Amino acid sequence: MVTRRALLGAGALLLAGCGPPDEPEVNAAQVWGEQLRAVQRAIASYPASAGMLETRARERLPLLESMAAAAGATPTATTPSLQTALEAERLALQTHVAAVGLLEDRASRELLATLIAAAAEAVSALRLELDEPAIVDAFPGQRNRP
Amino acid sequence: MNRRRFLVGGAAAAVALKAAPALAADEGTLLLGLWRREIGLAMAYGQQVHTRPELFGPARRHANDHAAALATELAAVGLGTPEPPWTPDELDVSAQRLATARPADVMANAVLAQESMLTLYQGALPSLPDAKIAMTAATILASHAQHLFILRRAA
Repeated sequence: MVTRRALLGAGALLLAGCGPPDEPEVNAAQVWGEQLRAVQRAIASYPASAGMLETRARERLPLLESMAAAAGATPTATTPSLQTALEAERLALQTHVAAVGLLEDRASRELLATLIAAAAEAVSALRLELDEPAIVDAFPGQRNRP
Repeated sequence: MNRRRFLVGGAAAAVALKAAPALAADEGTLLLGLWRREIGLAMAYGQQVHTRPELFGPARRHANDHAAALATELAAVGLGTPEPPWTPDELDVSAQRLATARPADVMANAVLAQESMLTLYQGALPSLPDAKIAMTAATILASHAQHLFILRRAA
């Protein structure tokens, strides 16, 4: 015979089992630090001749600086060039898309949407400067894709 | 834990479990709206692809790719994919204008349609709770930003 106490205990176990799986806690400041460093790295990668392209990239910095208080040292590029800038912008785009999966709040998602649009445009602009096709993929910003 | 607290806890859990499908339904409705816009945009580009094949050909293909990815996400939240539209009358306003534009107005309407898609995804991204679905939407947003960039240059 099943006692009332046993039934309640089983119910408690069942409820405990229904909880969300353990997931590593997201450190928002750290995520924003990564976003800031990715953009700083991209800016540092533009050659002096890039002109307007670098100016456009710099417009993203003020959006991020208030979010990423603990960003650490500013990255530098060893050899600034259009090709290096393209690689850095591609990485920045991937970093922003990945952050969408980590940060759910409205303000973060809105800012990330702005950053993603700007980085995606920069990737296309740099490709054109390098005489490459401006668009090579239907899902830019996914890891391991062009 | 006393019996009253236990019962209250159970009731709260039951409410949470009931709320989960509602959340999925909201996300599904949003995905359905995005799918309709992508499939409509693909149809609109299809109507005009002969005018600028180098621009509208890839744009149509990518809109179809986006719609296919969204259909996969729709299936993941338990919803099917509806029948695609057959005529421009069934499209949203920006796609309809692109589909029916005169040759002189095609590029301007293509830019407007891509601006509309970019705004749509910027608005949708904060409302997608599932991380994987949100990341898919984020890459599609990036794609529309790129198409908008090249259309503006070409206009």
